[in-house]
Amino acid sequence: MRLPTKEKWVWLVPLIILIILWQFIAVYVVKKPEILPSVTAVIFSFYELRNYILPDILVSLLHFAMGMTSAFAVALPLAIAMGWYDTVFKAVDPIVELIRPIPPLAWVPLAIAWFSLTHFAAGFIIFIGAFFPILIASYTGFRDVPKVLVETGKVLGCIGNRKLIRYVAIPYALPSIATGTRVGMGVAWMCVVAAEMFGVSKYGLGCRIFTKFFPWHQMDYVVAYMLILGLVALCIDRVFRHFVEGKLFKWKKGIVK
Amino acid sequence: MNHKLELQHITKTYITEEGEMTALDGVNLEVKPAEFLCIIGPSGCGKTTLLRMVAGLDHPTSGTIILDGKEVKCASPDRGMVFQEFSLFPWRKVLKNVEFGLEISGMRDKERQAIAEKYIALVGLQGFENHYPYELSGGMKQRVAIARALATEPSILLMDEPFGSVDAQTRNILQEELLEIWARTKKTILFVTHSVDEAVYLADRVAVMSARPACLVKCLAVDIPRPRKRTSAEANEFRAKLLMWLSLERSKACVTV
Ligand SMILES: Nc1ncnc2c1ncn2[C@@H]1O[C@H](COP(=O)(O)OP(=O)(O)OP(=O)(O)O)[C@@H](O)[C@H]1O
Ligand SMILES: [Mg+2]
Repeated sequence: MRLPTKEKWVWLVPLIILIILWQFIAVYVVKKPEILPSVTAVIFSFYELRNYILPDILVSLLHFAMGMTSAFAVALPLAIAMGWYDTVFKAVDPIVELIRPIPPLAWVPLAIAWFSLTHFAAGFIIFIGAFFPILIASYTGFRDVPKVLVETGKVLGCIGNRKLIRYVAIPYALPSIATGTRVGMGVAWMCVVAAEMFGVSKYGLGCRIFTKFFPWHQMDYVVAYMLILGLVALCIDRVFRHFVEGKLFKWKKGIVK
Repeated sequence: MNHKLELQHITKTYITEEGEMTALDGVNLEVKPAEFLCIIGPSGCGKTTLLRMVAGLDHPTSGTIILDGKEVKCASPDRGMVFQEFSLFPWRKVLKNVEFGLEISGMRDKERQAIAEKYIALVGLQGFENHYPYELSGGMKQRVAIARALATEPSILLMDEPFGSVDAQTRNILQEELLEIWARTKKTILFVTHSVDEAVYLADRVAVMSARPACLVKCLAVDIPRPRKRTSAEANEFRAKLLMWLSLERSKACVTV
């Protein structure tokens, strides 16, 4: 999407207004940094925390990657089976629907019991969070493959399910899989903070907020790390969209935009 | 045994919620090699069902279908099919769509591209090889579908109202092109239509189907020399004859047409 240059920068206006408003309220209205730190204090804390930020981001990304890759690796084959074979769907769907509503946080005790206080425990919580969005969106994609495309595949020589899945179902379902992955990444990032609250490691964005800054009421540090959490997630999403949606799904243009 | 295709007493009964529904009731038909046969009948009489069974996508409740001396059991690329609805793979460009059957059969890149290009030229779409289906008009999509069906060199082409969803002028052009392709490739063509004009212009023989439960009521040889003129006296005469047979059937029909 190409905007005229004037519109390209409109987003800056509300952002600047918001920052000015925040600074004004913090300094002249609230006046208590432990309730609302000022913008300048937050910016200064980035400078003070400069040696911690990178290791914390890397550890959080490690947890995130562990959870996401394992969720993807388990959800995708299951989604193919559930989406393609109706019997599998009927057999497995009740279990999925039973486990799905359990909040990932409720898995924390089990995660710690199974993996003790390791990176794997955090990865597991994130796995739970990312798994279901990927699974549901993907199997919906497989179930929606139009009959006429399947039959076209058959008439053109796709004998057997394996070829049909490979040449017809997977390409058709890819956009749904991508959407599920994107939603899953959002949930996974939320779970990063939750998973790190319980001291599974000494580093990590969530860990730092809850175990270091919050007990000392260092709200300027907390807000700085909140902003980092937002920015990292934004970057991940942008990179994903750039590589996956922009490059892989040109053919979808006619359908969605 | 010089028949290309033989339908022997085909019946098809669907089990629906309201009970059994007989769609086809004892259809017998013989098709000669290189013949252009049109099947015409009221909507919902079972034309698509019949064609899908010849393609091997569905099985008759009783009766046998014999193609080239062998009974049809399942789908195979030796029968090309053009579906009533648009059936291009939306994620593949025109060239890749036409290549599909060849790719499945394991042909090498260069070879299949050459063949695909030949058929794309045959349907007059040079220059559109790298377009996605959403960038094509309805008529162009059906041309690609025809090229794709021809690319695997099937011995018989099954076409289910392929021009049903394009405008009248485009339809006339496509009909002319199809006749040219037919003359050049010497394929046997089984062509379903509900347009009397189309049948009279295209067919060597027209098979008229009755309303449900359908059987073939009449096979009429179209003995008008080619190239035909749509408005010639002979064509009008034949059209009148065909319309009479159809209205006879329609008066018996209890389905809304
Ligand atoms: N899978 C199915 N289950 C139950 N009934 C079916 C099924 N497929 C088709 N039918 C019924 O069989 C009859 C014939 O359908 P078919 O699609 O062959 O008609 P058609 O002659 O191709 O009609 P049209 O010209 O509108 O395309 C219809 O009454 C339809 O309701
Ligand atoms: Mg039909």
